Amino acid sequence: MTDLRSSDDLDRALSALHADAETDSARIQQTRAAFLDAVGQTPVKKRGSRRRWVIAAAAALALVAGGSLYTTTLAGGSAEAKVELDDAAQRIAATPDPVVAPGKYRYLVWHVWNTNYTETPGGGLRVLEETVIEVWVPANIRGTWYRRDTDTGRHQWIKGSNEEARKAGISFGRSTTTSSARCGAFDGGGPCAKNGSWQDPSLDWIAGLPKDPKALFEQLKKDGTIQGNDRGETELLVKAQDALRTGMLPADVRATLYRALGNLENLKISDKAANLDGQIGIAYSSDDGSSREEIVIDPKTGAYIGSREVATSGRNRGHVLSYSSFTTSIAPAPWKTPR
Amino acid sequence: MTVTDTTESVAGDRPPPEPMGDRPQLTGPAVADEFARLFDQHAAPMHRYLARRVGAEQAHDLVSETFLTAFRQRDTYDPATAAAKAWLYGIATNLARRYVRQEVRGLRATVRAGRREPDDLAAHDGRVAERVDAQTLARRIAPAIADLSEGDRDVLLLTSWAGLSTVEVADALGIPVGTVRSRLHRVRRQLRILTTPEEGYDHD
Repeated sequence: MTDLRSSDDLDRALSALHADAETDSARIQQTRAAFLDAVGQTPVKKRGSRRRWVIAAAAALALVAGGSLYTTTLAGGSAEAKVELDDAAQRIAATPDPVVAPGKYRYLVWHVWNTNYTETPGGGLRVLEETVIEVWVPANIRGTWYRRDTDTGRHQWIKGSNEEARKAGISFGRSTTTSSARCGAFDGGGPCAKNGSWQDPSLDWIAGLPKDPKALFEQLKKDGTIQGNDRGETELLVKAQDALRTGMLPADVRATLYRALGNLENLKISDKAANLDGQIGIAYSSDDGSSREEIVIDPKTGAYIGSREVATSGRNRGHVLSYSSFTTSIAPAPWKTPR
Repeated sequence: MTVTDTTESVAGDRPPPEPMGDRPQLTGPAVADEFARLFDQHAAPMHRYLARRVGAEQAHDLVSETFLTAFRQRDTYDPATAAAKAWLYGIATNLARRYVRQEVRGLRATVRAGRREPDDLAAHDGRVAERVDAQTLARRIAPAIADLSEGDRDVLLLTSWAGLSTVEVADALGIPVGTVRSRLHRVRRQLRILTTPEEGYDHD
């Protein structure tokens, strides 16, 4: 309720009239893409590589660069998780997504640590290797995207040593591959595809998501309940994580998704200061009994900054099993990093 | 890794002022880029303005049509005579006229919704006995806005909801600025009677 005595009643009344009209940013982005397409700003470039533009969930060991491979903390229960997620949602709502000026690019970067296993007479070598994936998304999303994958050569032994690797003929050089594809369809799909999914969200798919957190949760539940998958609720967090890590969800959709995740019965805060490549965030987790999946959110901005998987049973209990960090910023041109 | 946002390309709630930016040259090879910039600057607030007038779905269609119309008619835009914002809102307002019946129906529905609820909020809380909440006042003025001529309604809502200055409204609607001011003065005076409390405190 508003006290109207303090200023012009008419202006307040006008402000309140039909003030509940909402602007759906995903729809605006669709309109934008269609408009720019129609006015011919979109360059048509060659077909890209066979890689997907989303990062497949790394079924691999990984480590926290500069952090710890071992995590034992369990800092909160689901009520606290809900409150913190709601707070993160509010922070997102208060910070609109950066607008990419024509000619500039959204610059998305993932640092992923994957495991490589090599059979040797001594019982095999297991090593973690870092890959950096960079994607440049044009101001007109339907334009040409650019992608660079760099195996940095950084590695850490889980089982083995540099000496054993040398004997086995394994080296850790730096190598880079580049590709480009219209509208991020590096391997089909992408934002311009007619169909989409949590793993590969298209603009149309995003626009069709429920706007109400509870309804979005129901959708997540429907899509995340997979026959033969016994991860239960944890799979729902994985689905949400898949979509968040693409960097394609607009701020209002991310905010609704955070609130939707608050409906997970077993969601917990597992780490209030998870360190992902130097970015500190709150880790929200769901445990399926063998490992817990975590999404990490910066409490100051509400930004999704990465994911982890931590073993919760067996020999590796407490160890980080997989890890990736994510950042987004604005770059002046393809292949250029932000100044 | 450091996260870097180049401030020059990051827009907050309010687009950064650009001295010449709102009167762009809409010719030449970079015209599509210029339109992309105009879209980023104006599409979302324009949608909200239109959504409040004719509904969210129609507003999406109108925003799309406005920019396509603007692009087709870019040769008619003269940066020396009008800001791009005024030009775009003029197109949008003109296109929205086809939904005038819907707009009026919506305003009347607002009134009906109001009749189902008690205006007197004092029953809930003695402290607010003398207050009139914004929604109640909005419902009071809704029928009067529905009764306005299209021209008067455009002037009022372009000013109040789209945030255009009187000069911009004049440019948008193609009428003299003096006419805008006198219309606005007259309309606001009419409406203010409805929002002035019967008793209890002085109005400005």
